[in-house]
Amino acid sequence: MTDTSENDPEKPGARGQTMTSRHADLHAWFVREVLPLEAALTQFLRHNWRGQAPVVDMVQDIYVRVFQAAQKEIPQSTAPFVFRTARNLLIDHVRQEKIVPLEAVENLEMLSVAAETPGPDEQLIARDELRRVQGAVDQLHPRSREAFILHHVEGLSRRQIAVRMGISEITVTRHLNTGVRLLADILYRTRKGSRP
Amino acid sequence: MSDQGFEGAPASHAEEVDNLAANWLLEKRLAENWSQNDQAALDAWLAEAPENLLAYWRLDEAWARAHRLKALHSPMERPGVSQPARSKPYALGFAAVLTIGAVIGAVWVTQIQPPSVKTYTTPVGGRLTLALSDGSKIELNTNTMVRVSMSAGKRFAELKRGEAFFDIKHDAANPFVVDAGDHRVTDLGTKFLVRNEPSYVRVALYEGGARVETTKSTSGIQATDLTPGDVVTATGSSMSVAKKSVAELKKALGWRKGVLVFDNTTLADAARELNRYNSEKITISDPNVAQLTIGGTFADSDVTALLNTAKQVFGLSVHRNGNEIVISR
Repeated sequence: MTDTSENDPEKPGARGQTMTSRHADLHAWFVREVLPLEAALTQFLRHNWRGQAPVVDMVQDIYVRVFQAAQKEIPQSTAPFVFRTARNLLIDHVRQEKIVPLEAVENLEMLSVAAETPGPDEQLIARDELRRVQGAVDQLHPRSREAFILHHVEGLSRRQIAVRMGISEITVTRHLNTGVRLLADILYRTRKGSRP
Repeated sequence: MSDQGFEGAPASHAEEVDNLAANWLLEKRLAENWSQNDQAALDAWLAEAPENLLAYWRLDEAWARAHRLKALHSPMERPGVSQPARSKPYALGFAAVLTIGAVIGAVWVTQIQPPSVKTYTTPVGGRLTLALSDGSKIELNTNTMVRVSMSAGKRFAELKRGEAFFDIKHDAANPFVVDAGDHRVTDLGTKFLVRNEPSYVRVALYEGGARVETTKSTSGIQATDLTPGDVVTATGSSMSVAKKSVAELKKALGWRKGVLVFDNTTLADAARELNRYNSEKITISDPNVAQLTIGGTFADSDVTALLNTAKQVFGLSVHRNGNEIVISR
């Protein structure tokens, strides 16, 4: 969906420094094929899970399992693999917590949410991509959003942002911390992010 | 992971990791001097646990996507943001990028305005859902090629090879037309499956209505109107229609969820189906073995389930020879 090989003009080559090609393949695969499933995966878990563990933790566990399997071999079709992993994780949790939604888990029809992930028309058009990211940035808290725009669009450094906004550099960092996390959630976890 | 503000303790392990990953990302991305020692410390943290690495990749990707906004013309409203950066090389670079952005923008607009014609392919084992601008969807199965052409007065797709499921939004004034080989399907607001093999074209109708006709025929145009449950199989010279229940037809759609549903299916047919999805090919030369039947739901990417069934249920032997897997007595 996005070109991860594109170097950040801020730090040319920074991303590649520590990567073996295998690592780079895994990175590209994770970003291109797994992350776009996050909204459907989250919905699938919310729909089927009534236990104690928070859904975000389960998503994390699924990512780890999927990643560890992919370290051996990157699966040919990612979505079914991710949802099979989700299903297995649910079953494990059900056994641990001794609660019941097994019949929901067994319902293969639920896996159809995988088909709801954005189609290539949405993925391929660069203009839509920019609009989608812009829409996500617009949803940030006002101060996070301002710091984001000053950095990403106007190219200001942390110190310059601090001066411009009249706050400390530490506070700038906190705004950007909140901002980037919420941005990732909007872009990947919610339907809003994947369907502008 | 960050639905809340930055105050307060994280409520879960994932949120804690997310917070740390964001700290690292910002240290790296905002550092004026990022030293090798800094990188080594980051690498150590990333190597500590896979969830660290994955959370970092996720945030880094969101960050990189935001960074590309720089290329946008008049990016967004900027309440509270005063003048753009003066001085610094940024100002010049930004202006240059803006010009390019505007030019590219113009090109994009002309390119994505209708009519748009695009070809989509899937590799062996691949699958793809196309969300079309009119709300219709096309799902491509393994090893499939579809050319889609959408314009104001015409909705058209050509299934060049493979198999695709069409879920078409009805528009009486503008029917959706699908060509496969020498055959044409004209929909009347429907869900249907089309498969284009070298020796035949098959169309199965799940909902609504559709018409199938030959586009090239020596003995005049043949056409047939379908109702749900109809399966048309057309070869070079003939067209036959079989009636099935929609429930039965749905078994042919398991691939949309990554599975194959077999029901009283011969081993030969099951192997042929699985072979469409995998680079490893199963062959069965013994005709008696080929006629054994199986049932059940199998992952389309997993040949071992079928092989295990062959071994454990039928007591057959399985030999691998490179990419070929031979099932025999």
